[in-house]
Amino acid sequence: MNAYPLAAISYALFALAAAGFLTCGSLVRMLMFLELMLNAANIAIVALGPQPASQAYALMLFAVAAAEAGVGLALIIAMASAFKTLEAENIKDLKG
Amino acid sequence: MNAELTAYASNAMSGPLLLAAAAFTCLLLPLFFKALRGTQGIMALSAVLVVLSFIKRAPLTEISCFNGALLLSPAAAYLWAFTFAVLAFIILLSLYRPPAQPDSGGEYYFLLLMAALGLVTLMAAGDLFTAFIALELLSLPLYALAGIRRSKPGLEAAYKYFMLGAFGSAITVMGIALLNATHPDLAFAALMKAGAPEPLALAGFVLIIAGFAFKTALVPFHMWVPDVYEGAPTQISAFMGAAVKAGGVIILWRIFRIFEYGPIRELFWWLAVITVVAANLLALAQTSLKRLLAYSSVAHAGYLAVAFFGGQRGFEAVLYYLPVYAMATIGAFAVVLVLEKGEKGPVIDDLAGLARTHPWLAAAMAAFMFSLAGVPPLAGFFAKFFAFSAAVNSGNTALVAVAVIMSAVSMYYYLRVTVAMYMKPAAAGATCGAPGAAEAVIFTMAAGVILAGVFSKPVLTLAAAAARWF
Repeated sequence: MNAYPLAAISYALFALAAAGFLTCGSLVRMLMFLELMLNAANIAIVALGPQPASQAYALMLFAVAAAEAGVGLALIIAMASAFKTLEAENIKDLKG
Repeated sequence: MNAELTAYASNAMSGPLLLAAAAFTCLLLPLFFKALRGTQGIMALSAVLVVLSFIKRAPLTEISCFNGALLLSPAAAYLWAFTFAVLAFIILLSLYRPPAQPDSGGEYYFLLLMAALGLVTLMAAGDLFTAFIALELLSLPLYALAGIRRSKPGLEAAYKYFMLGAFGSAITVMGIALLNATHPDLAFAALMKAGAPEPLALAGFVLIIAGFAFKTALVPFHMWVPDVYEGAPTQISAFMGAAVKAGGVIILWRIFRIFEYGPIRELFWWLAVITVVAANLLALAQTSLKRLLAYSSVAHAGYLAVAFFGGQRGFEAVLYYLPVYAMATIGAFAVVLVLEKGEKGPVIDDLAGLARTHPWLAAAMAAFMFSLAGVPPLAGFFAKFFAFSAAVNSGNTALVAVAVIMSAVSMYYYLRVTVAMYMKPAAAGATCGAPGAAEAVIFTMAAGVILAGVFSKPVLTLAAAAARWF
């Protein structure tokens, strides 16, 4: 099977997710876009990787993405109880 | 591999494994034995000291472990000793004033030891993918550590660090995917041999460099640094400045030296110039001491990037620079820790009159500031001198001219701290903690900054011997 359409999908997904991450203001949505970016990169690794090792990379990246989601969700829960809001623009205690 | 090398490798690898075991012990043991609560710091410290004693003079060769994923060499031994020493001092500072509630269990030390484990793996990584996984093992605990106090500034710091750090990681993964399409073998040695990259691989390299530049805090990827350093517990800010940056610098150097010329060199050139200029100018306007040190850390990342252009000699300077910078940073943050009352740390004016109330503390702080500014005979001067002279000798005069000018600009804000301590009258009720672990750290670091400057030759010889194995 030709891998290039798959690679093109992953690039488009990555670009869209990155744009969404940079423009949306809600922490939960930012986390979801982050996961989307990681998944897009994962598709690119599987599609373009020439070796069995690359497919193994993809498996390890699942674990990394899951760990990142875990830490991110824990942070979001802690922030929801401390700030009572999850909009990024309302969270600026520190000089940004 | 002969028996001697196998023995060395298994001995060296037992260090990180012991660190992992100690991390889980700190986390789990107090759950089962209530009497052990509150002793996690002592446990962590003794484990790190044992791990430090595992570091032996490495045989003069590169031992490839785990199918090339980790490379043990004199360079790795040097960097591991550096990391574990930094970790020991950070734990000492955490014993002086615990950043988390005392009854919160051992997760603080668990996360700190795990981050250190990621860092030593990053420093010895033999291929890009291992480097990425190690980077994640380093970053994920740090995100949590930044917010471990669960206060508003801490959580804001943690969320900014997490969002930008994870964004950087996603970019790195995409870069690895692009690079992997044309380079099946991601080992640094194989990438060196591969020759000039195709456009796709070049795009991959650019993304990977951007991802690691996030962690090393090169401008324009530094937006998170001041907020995170200000909001995170001071001990963690010190760890980020002293050790975490070193990990990013090592990987950036491994990527940098793949390219003798071409667009990636240009990219590094611009990163170095923009970092050095922007960080020093932004630091001028800071009033908070922690934010000042944050911008200073960005500026020093820029000087390290300048040193890259000195080739092998430049990297020797980098390996001398890292411990020297770490000593001054840990010392300065320890002074911040002693003086801090609120969550965000003192402003520069809080230091007013420190020379009268605490003359030795002020003298030590002045030594750190002068070392960071690069005043002889302190170690910071020699670090900058070696770094810049290496870059000049390989013909990058314009780059070094910019760095030297901006280094002169940096004198202003380092001197401002010293002037506040020595020339301004004391603020009312300026008190600080009793002598303890923090003072021990401060004076050890001050002695180190002076001695590493006066005896710069032996330290540089050590660094040069390590740099040969990269």
